[in-house]
Amino acid sequence: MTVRRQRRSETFLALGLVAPAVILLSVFLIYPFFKNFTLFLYHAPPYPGLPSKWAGLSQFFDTITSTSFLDGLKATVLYTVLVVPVGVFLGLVLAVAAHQKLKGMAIYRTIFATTAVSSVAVAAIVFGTFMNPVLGLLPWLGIDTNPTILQNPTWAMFAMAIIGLWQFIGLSFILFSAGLQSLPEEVLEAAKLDGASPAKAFFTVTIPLLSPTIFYVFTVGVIAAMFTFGQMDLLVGPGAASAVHVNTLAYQIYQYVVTQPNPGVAACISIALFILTAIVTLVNFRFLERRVNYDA
Amino acid sequence: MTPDLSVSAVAQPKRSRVRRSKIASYLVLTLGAIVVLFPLYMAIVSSLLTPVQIGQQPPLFYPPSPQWKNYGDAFVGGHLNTYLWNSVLQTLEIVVGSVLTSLFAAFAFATFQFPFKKIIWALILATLLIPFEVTIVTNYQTISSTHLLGSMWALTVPFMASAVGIFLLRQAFMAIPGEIREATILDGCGPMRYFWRVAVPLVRPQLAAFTVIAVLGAWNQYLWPLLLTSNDEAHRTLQIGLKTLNSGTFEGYGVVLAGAVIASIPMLILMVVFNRQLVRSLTGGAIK
Amino acid sequence: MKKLLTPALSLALLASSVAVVGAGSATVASAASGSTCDVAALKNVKSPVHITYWESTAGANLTAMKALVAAYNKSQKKVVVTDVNQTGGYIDTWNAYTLSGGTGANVFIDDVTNTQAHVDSKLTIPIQDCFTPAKFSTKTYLTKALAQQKLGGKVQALPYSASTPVLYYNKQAFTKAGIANPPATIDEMTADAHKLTQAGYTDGMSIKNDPWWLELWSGMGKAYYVNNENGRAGRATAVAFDTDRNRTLLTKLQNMVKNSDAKSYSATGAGLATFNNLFAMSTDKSGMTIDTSAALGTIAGYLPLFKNITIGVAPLPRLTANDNGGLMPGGNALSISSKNSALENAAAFDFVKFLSAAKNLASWDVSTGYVPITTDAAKDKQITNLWKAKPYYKVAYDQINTGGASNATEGPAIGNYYAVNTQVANALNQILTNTSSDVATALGNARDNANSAISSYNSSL
Repeated sequence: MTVRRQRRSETFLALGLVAPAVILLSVFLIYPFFKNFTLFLYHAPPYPGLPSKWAGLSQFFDTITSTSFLDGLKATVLYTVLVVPVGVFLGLVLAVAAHQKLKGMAIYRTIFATTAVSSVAVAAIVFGTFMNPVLGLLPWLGIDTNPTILQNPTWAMFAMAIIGLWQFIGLSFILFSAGLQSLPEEVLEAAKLDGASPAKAFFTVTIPLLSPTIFYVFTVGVIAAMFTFGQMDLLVGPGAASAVHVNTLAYQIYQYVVTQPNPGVAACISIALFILTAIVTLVNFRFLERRVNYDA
Repeated sequence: MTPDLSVSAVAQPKRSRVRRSKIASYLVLTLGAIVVLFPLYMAIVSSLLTPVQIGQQPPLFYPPSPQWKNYGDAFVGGHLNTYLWNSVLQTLEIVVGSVLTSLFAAFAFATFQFPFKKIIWALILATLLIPFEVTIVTNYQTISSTHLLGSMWALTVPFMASAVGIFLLRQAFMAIPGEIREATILDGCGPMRYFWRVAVPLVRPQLAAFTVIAVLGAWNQYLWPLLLTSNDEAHRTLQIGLKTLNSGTFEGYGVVLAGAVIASIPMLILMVVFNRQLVRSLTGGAIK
Repeated sequence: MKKLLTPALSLALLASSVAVVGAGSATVASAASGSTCDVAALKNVKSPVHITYWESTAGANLTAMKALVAAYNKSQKKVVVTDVNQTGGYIDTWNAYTLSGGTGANVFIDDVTNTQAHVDSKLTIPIQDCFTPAKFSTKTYLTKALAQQKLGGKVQALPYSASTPVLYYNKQAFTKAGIANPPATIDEMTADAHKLTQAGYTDGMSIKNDPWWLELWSGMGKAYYVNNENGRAGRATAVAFDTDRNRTLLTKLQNMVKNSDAKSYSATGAGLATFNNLFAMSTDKSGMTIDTSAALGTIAGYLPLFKNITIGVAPLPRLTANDNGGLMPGGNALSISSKNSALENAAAFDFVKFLSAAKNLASWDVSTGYVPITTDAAKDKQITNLWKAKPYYKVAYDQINTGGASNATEGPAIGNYYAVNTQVANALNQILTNTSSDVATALGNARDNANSAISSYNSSL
């Protein structure tokens, strides 16, 4: 076989191998992403068969300045702020505690990882049962808010955040454990021999060494949090979500696709949420990554 | 007087400090374990209570007369048997699909030169930035207009490619030393034969890691099955089945929790058996 | 060839440049739409006509429905009905139906409040078009139920299942609190709730904040809910519920909660939380609640499991003693798709006729707790026996038959009913859970939001 013919047959083979993935990703990720930029320019008709009316950018600006969007923005941000920093911190603390060469660490590690494999449906239903004002644990704990927590405009988001936090701790723990295990032993030993107390060694040596991991856990956590809506759907529902201020932007997208179909507005919110997440991730990169200490 | 620099003089305060930190660690760990496990424990207990017992205050922390029939009710009356099977099918299809397409694409990127290679690679990386949630508006229309609605393919085809998988496996394939490939060429081995016989077995660890994460992701999916199967009982997956169970007739809290327990068991087993692969895939390449 | 863009990029560009018009999806080649019911053709058909039927029942109701469908298929050879159970509820079913462009089902069941949307979408035929060809008489239908489904001069959907809210109360609690009879007005209800709290029932009454109640209390007082005579004399362009009467009603309810004589639970929560008002009764926290008569079967089966509870059912208390509009039915009705052929229309209506036969209606109502929708069904032995054994099943029926049929007592006709409903739900939740909130303001906000929803809906048609 000549080199050129081999090269050509290799080309065909390579393109053929790549094609399935590329086609699928294009049809189901790239195309829909860009199609949002066409959909958001039209007012969708209430029923099929009626014409779409041109809206231009006015629909987008009307949507992102509407009270429901701003409320959803607040809900999304609040949820992220409640879940991610605490989750990062707790995961780190637990991972450090479990990193010791003590007995039973394997059992602890397995326990903490369980929340990472639980689905949002399981977590929400389990916690939702506790939060039932009549049948759950709330009366026993003496918590009797009026209205009850899941229907309370002030407290419902905290309930959602507790569920999200429980789920996030597992992942945070796993990532920090792995991070700790990859730390060079010699540096830590050297710190101890210098007479540094464990606390001091932790803050001056371990944390800087862990900074890439901290940054990664933070980023992963923020992105996941900004797209959360599962527990809101399971425990509050589309009808009540905005009244109790848990109507996150991702949940609003779902509602405009299913419960009150309106592709134009759904596309607007999708674009807005994407831009928001991109900005937050970029800020995360700039701000935290600068503090990451890559020197081993 | 020379200071007493014997080992014991330095070791004493250090030993008690070590013991204190050991106790502190156990305390923190146990507290954390209780907080993490308590919800699951209470779910199991409550799933074994009668409707009257569930209404009791103060709440029961152990089941006085375990209602195992709640599990039967969840399975049969709550149709969890159908939903469980659907989840198995859905997960299987998604994992097989994404594993194959990722293996093929990753192999091509690692092994061949071809036109537009850089552009296509950039495209694939770009999809990592596109969260699925912003694609549902159009994907929902795409699926319903192709009349795939009401079939298992609607649930699985959109996820049969994975940029994460391609990324992980490309790294793995690139780590195979060039000499191995050259040796097989000398033996007259064509590229696809090399792929199946040599390359894939060599990337087994990363493949296992990706498979585990793919299984976990597919099994726990909520958004897409919610969109497609809220109205379609025949293809509903376990997670959405839990939601339906949760909205059911109101004697049912015990049954609902039994359903939640049933739903969490498979992934818990996965986590215990495939712990190493799970950790590797979650941290894949990101932890230094 | 080399200038060709990568496959993916070109696909993306192509897609984005396609004109985006929300035109309906390609309809399945199921023949031209016919607005006539070709009963003659059905009589002469050689092979069975296949009909797809969508309904969203669950639990015991689903079992009863499947039995009826099987009985129909067995009883004749011309039509084969496939029942595709929709498990998402009325809204999800309607959305799936519109997404399919009306081709997903030949006949389906939908909420009685959604009929204006059917008309606006043009995805259903007026079911009256089949009455004459099929020689179907609606003489024995409950007047209010039939009138409720009449829009544009024609009956659009055929009433099938009906329910009303009723007052559920715990007879033992009433005895303990010294209440002789269940309350007939809201003022009596307030007083009784107070007596219950004095007797140790901490909630007094458990109120479920269902926006439907506001419509019902309006109908009882023959007050309009939206303008243009409830949207029945002309298309509704604004709501009409921001009135002194409703402000008084909501203030009374708010005061009950404020004085701790009642505790409110939302009806739009998710999961089992929608039954919290009933759980409160089961745990002796509350002595009475308002809920739908359709749940009578389950409630009567569940609450007596608790030893301190004997269930009583009473009519919905009125705002004033001379409110005599009665109650409009809630529930569902049967609709036929506008994308059927004339033959399919006839086949679908044949199925509808079967479901609406007196004895089939009676058996449906006995299994589900719904109210007989025709007086013929009410005379059927299954119903008379039920009412004799358990008279509380008759309460809802009597409420529907009070007050005569008029635009004010039949409920509103609103195209985007759910959007308006959500605003009222928000107002109710606000008023009944934040007892320091101002009723007039909350109701005013609901009015403004609902009006803008209605006007943007109307302008999009």
